[in-house]
Amino acid sequence: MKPSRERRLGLLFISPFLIGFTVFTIYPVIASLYYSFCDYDVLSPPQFVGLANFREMASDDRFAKGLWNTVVFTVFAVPVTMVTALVLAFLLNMKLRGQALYRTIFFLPSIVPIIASSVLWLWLLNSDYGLINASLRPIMSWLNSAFGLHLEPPGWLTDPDYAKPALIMMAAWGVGGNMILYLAALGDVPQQLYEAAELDGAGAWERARHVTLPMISPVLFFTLVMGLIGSFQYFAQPLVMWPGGAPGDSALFYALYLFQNAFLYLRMGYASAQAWLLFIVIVATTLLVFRSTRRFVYYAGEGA
Amino acid sequence: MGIGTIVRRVLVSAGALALVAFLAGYRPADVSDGGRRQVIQVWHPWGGPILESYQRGVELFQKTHPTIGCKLLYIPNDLSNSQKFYTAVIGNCAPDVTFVDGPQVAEWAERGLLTPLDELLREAGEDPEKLRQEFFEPCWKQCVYRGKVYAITYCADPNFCFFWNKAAIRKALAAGEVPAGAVDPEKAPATIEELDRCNDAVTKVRQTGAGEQLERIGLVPWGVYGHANSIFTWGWAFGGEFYDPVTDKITASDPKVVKALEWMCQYARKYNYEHISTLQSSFGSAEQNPFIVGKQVMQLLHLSGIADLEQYAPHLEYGLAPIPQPPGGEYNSSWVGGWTLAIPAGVTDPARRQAALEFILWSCAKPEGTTMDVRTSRNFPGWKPSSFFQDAKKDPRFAMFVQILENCKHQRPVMPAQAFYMNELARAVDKAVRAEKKPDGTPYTAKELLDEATQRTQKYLDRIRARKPNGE
Amino acid sequence: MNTVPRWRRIAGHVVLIALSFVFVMPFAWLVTTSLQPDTERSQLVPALIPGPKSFGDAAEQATGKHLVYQPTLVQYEKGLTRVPVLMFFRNTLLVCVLTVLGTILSSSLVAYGFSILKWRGRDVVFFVMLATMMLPGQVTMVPVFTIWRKLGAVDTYVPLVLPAFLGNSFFIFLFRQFFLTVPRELIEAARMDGASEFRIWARIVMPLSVPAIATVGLFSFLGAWNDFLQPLIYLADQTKYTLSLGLAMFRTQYGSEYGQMMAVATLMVVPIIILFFFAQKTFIQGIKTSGLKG
Repeated sequence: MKPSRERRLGLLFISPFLIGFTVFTIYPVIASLYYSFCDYDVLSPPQFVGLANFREMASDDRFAKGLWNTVVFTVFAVPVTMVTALVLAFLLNMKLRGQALYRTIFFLPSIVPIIASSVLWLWLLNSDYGLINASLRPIMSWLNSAFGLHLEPPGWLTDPDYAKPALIMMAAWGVGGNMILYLAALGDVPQQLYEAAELDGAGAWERARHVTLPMISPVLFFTLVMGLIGSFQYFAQPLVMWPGGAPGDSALFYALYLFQNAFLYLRMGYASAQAWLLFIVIVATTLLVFRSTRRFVYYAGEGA
Repeated sequence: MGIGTIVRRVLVSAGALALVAFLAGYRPADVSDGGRRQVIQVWHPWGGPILESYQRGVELFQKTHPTIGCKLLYIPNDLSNSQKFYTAVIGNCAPDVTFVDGPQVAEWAERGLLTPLDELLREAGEDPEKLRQEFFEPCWKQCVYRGKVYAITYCADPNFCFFWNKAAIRKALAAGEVPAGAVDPEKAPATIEELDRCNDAVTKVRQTGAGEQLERIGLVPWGVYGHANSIFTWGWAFGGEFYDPVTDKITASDPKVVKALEWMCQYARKYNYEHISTLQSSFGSAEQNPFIVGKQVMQLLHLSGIADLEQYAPHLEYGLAPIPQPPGGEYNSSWVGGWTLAIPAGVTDPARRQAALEFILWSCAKPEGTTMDVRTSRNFPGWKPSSFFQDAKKDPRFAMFVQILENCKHQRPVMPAQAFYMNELARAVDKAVRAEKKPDGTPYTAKELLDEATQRTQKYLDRIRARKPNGE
Repeated sequence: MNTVPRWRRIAGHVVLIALSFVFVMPFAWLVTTSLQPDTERSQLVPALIPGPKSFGDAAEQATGKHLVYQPTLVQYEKGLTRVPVLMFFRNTLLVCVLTVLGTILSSSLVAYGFSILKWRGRDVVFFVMLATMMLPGQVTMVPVFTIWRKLGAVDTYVPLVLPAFLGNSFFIFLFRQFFLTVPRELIEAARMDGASEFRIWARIVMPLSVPAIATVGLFSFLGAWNDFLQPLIYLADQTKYTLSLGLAMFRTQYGSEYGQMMAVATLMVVPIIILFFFAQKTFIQGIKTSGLKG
């Protein structure tokens, strides 16, 4: 096929996206970029203030806190959720009896409305009568008496050091979506490859490393990129868990502070500046991921 | 499987779903607006136990106002409601009437999101001055910004009332857990000193193999509907002020407010902040309240607390009283919160405005719109002549709230940095009760934290003032 | 795969059953809450075991009997009459079905253009498309709303549904990842036979991607089913509201009908669970493998 023809065809196929982009994306994006250099309270016309919004960020301790919380969350939550989902998918891919039921059960947390699941978590995490500490307490009690320690179950909801671990735990529990994706990818791995590897004397671990993981790497890559984009913009769950804010701003995430500026303090200009900085951070991270994982992601169709 | 099969399957499932959709397609009798000359759109936050009575009230309004129809739209009360409201005002499709949370009125008025009502009131033959006298003072004050009336108070929340669990105290006394005579289960502490003693007496700690657990506590001073509302409540009870409207200055570092925060910190140190907060972080809903199960025997509650207790623990025996105060503090101290009704900016058609105002007045300041029947007991009007109060006073519990409302002197600061201020105050309280440390390792003092909140809010407020006011 | 040794199968079951308890909790919680009268939920440790019991007094709480509750349907009766759930259900279904159809159709076409077809500048455009997901929506929400307003589409389902027909970056990316694993020789062979690109999309790529289609269908359905902000912002007529908004109607600042909310939430979740249970084979059937063999 001639390159020019293939290009025309390519543009034709992506035309739904191009239409949506032209009509609904270009103007709002440019407008928000402009607002980021303005003092803008949503209703009255924006007033240009140059780099003032960006300068303010440098000295805003809450902004710094939000950025830090978000980076910490992302660094832990993305790998934790990917590994959890992968382990579940491998377990389910053993094709045991009753797998249909197991699959449904593991997907349940992703279906139940957040309004219900967060109430459940508030109970589970309560440090006095919650289920998590109720199970930790006897263990710690035994450790304390056996080894003379002074362990206390953590205040998941009240101790600033434990808010993020609690949220990461909750994220690991809601991985049903990733699990389904991995299962779909695992189902696509040709059986012959396993058989060939087995003939070569590869053990279970080697088969997983040299056959399974490369074959599902496109989907792993997808969940990595989407996980990064999602967790950089994460804020819904903490807002439900701590409507008045977690102690010590320990669950004040970047996107939440941005949101407060936009719709609570009516500082759309400052919020836009924050949004654009976050945008640059995410773009840079994603580009880095694209570059650095290129040799690990194996596309069967391309490689052939 | 070929594409044909897929298409077939998709079509079959789409058909099945369409059928289900069709079967599910019934329309219930909504508040009808058929055949009315003027249909106004009303955005309201009333769901749950208030939904039905609110709809009933609107039906009643339509019955007595045959020319006006109301189209109700429920808007949840969280941050999403501002998103909906701002986009609608900017998109020029705002409703004719909307509920606005009291402290938001000034913020929204400053940004030009609301229509001033003075002219309209006069056109409708209402004297704003007379109306002012008919409202509880703080209820009216929270709606007036830069000399103009931007909203009318729909409901007055007398915040708050002191509740104590009589049965739990009696039980603790009987079990010998509380020394006889230390606490009177029939009487509420009237001063902070009495309250402190009471707290000491009822607090019970249990040792476990892995640390301590609080078995029972008295009152949690910062557990009053969020940290910011806690400091408002105690700050005023201690005789402090938060804002000076004359000089437009934030005054959170008022020595009396500082004293209130220091008192709150005492509790955090004495009974261990971590352990107390645990009890506070209940399930985020009224029914699993530590107060109901007797783990926290005293609590400041909102008016709706009565109905909640009725709903979830009908047999609970408890008492109500005004909140205690220190020497030099304010007796019967309280402040009002609550919702107001306003006309958003951009409603320009005179007939619509008129209908909107008619609806607002009927809902807030007319006998029929302020009865207990159309409001439920959870929603006190702010309009003094209402028959609601006669009905409420028949029940001693509601009578206590009426008394508190009648004595009420405060509303949250009426200025356009209110949301920001609340966040700053909440932060100060959080840092204070947790005894957060400075870089040099010593904990922040209450004064330092309130100074910081004052400065930050003042800076933000000054910046708003420096902007050209909208439309001027 | 019957070659898995017996001990590993047993070990697998043990692990899976243990994990199931953890994952089944939200649903168990939801259902039990919906089956209890208001007065039975006022305790710090929720009752999770259905069974006959009298109202739990303090003595029972001490013996653990309070963990038992007597199921009742009262929350369902009240919940279904208080809020027009059936109407909201129909509205939600309409939005969901259209969203799913639009997403599968448009996103797979666009993904085809980003994966199977090779053209200069493709990867740059693809990255630009991904980048549209990276700017927080809060700052573009107001301008986007004004565009819909100018198009006269506010208070219709169009702003909720039409974007799905214009390709969704997330699902385009997902489809692309699956399409890139389609054996190249199949496509080249079809081109040799003179098949058009559209025909290759319809006859080869899509049939080989049934798990991807099913996954995209599931995710886009769930997304539309649970979406709260878009319906709230764009709909101005309560008879058009969706279920997630209806769910919020059980709460207000001065009190909640929590049990009723959980009852409706249960009704919202059960059909999805049933659908998922019966459709799940589609997600994992590994067509490509069998396709190659055939």
